[in-house]
Amino acid sequence: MAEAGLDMAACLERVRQRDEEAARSLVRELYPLVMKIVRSHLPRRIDEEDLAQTIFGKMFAHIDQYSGTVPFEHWVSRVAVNTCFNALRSERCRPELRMADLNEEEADVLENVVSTDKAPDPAERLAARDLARKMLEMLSPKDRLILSMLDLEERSVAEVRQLTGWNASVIKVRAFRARIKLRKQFAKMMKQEEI
Amino acid sequence: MKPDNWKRLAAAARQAPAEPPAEMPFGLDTRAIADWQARRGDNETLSWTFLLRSALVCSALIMALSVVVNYQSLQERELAAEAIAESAIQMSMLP
Repeated sequence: MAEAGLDMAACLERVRQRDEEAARSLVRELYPLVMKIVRSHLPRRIDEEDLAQTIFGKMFAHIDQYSGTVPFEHWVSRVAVNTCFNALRSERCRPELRMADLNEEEADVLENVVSTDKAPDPAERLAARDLARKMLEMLSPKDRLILSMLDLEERSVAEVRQLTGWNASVIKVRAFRARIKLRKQFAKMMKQEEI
Repeated sequence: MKPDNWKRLAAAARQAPAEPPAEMPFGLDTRAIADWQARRGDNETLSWTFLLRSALVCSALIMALSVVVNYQSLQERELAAEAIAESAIQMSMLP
């Protein structure tokens, strides 16, 4: 994860002493990691760059609280996930997804997923990812974050717990209920298709 | 058993090619550092404001306390002054 050449411990020490150049190196080093998290949990109407900047701002503001018991990348990931969660929470409404809102590729993917067992072709995989994200947008921020990490990023419950700080049983129960909601949504959309 | 459409969709979504690695936009590091320093400045201003406010509250409390403690003696002093004035008047009225 760490770029070859950057001594993270030394860099952090310099950042704590308010060294701007070290801070710049740290941002450059962690940008891909932060951006990956931002892109996975980006709320609608929020620019990914703005969110990344907010995350780095928080990282610097609380850097003195980093105790060093976990790798710094893990600590930053947690800051990033929590910032994304807060941004998701600030979204006032969660849109209802209808068949009419889907583009052609997404509608095809939906039909294939429901009716056939055939593996999606490469173009369909991208549409599948977009459709999955759209469906997750209908869930509450907590459910969305959990399901996105568990089902799209294939993280374990322990990893989700580590990143969010939420209780393992809460994560499991929420994931179970969120999947039921999504199944119902599938059924609703297919009904709309029939009409 | 009914197929789980969400799981199948998620499996298809996972097979999507990874998004291209994010290249840092020009100036993001500068903006992040400027934000950090601005916050630090705000924090310093905040701590000064907090200190001044605390000093103001403390001095107000000390003032109030000193008034309470000295209230009795102030009253007595007033009474004594009145008595002196009265006796002076009486003495001046004596033939």
